[in-house]
Amino acid sequence: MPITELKPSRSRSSQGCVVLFFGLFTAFSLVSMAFLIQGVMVRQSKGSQIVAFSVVSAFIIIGTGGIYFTLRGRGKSPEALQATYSASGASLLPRVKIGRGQTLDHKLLPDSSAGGRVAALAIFALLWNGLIAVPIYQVVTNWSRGQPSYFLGLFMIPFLLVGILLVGLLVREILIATGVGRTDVEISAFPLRPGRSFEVVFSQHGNLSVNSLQVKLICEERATYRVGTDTRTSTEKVFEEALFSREAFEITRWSPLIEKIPARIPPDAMHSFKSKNNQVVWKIWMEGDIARWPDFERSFTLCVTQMAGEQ
Amino acid sequence: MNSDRLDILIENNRNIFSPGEIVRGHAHVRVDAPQEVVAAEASILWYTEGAGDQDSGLIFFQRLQADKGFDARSPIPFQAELPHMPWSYDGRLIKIRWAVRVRVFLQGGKETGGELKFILRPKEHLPASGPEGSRPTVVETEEYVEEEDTEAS
Repeated sequence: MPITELKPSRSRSSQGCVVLFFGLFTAFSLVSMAFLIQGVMVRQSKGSQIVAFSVVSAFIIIGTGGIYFTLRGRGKSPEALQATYSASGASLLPRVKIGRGQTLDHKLLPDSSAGGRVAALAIFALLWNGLIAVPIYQVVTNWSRGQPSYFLGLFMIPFLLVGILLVGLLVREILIATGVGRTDVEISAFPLRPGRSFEVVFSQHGNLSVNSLQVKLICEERATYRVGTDTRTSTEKVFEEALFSREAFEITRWSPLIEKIPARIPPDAMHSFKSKNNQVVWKIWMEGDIARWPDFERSFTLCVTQMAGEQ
Repeated sequence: MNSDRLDILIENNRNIFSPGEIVRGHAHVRVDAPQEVVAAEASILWYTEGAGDQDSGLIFFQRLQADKGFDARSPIPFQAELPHMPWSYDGRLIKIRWAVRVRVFLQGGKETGGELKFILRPKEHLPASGPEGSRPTVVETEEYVEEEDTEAS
């Protein structure tokens, strides 16, 4: 393979700009502190003075810290900084929730619990609708008085739609959590190895009339990147294999669906990988189409790796 | 016009390794004025490329400084035992690369550098076709000057 030329490790001009920014920030904070000390705030309450001093002190710490950390890295290559300040030996494997199985050795726990999703959605829907309730109430009150607020009304429409959507999603998740019983997944080996076969035992509980149920082995890549102040994550499925599929059947409280199925990680598969911004994730994925009920999906992360010395 | 030449040579000209193997070699930098070399760094690392922000992991780092006895005419050695992961990977959103990276710092804030990529994969997981070529190619690198020095001159 040819040698690839490297870009300069650090530009002095960019470092200078950062130091200038933090320098101005610190200078402004020190001037503010000087005014405070001179008693500009003397007419304010003691509580206000304490808050003001705390805020300005925090700004001074941030500014001097920024100057210190920028100058500390001055003239150093990214590799030198990493060698000095980064912890080595951090795990590159994703965290997998696993317990002891009853039928097979290992029980996988779902990536997110139904109750957790309901709680998270309920809190978010409550906060969102609580925030928009006041302006919405104002719009409605104005309309009833014959003084419609057209601008405010139009402005609040998208926020109202999001609020309604959140309530709809919350209702859907409650129905799934209460109507679709728990899903248990157990595997015969942990961690898994590329090229090795293993067994999966899954059980689906509940009182369901199932249009279709599928269980798949999936590998996804996830990449996180920053665009301005936004952080975005892209996900792409790079491997999918159907392990189980059945249509038009019933699951009852006294007769859950229990199936034992073989599976195999492809021989040339990439191992599970997790770093700060990039992931390769293997998972067991279940999706169900339930008659007269919202569809549901359940995900169970696997760990695929190869230990040192293994062949 | 001055031009620097950077050679990075892995022992036995290998560019495919299995986890647990040792990657070792040395780099040579050829400059017209060796006394202008202030320091040189050699590192062995993995890094990600692709859609996500870059992550990296360092398994070997060495900095040699002229004021501590380093002579730019001497080879810059590197050696490390490769971990069992992460493997080299060519995915759709994510790629993982392994490389030997060498930077040479010259007087006046100038810098030159290059990296030689290699593959880390268990033998049984390499594609049947395999990567072409096992000999690293030596290329000339131009010296580049940081912005403020250019403006000053």
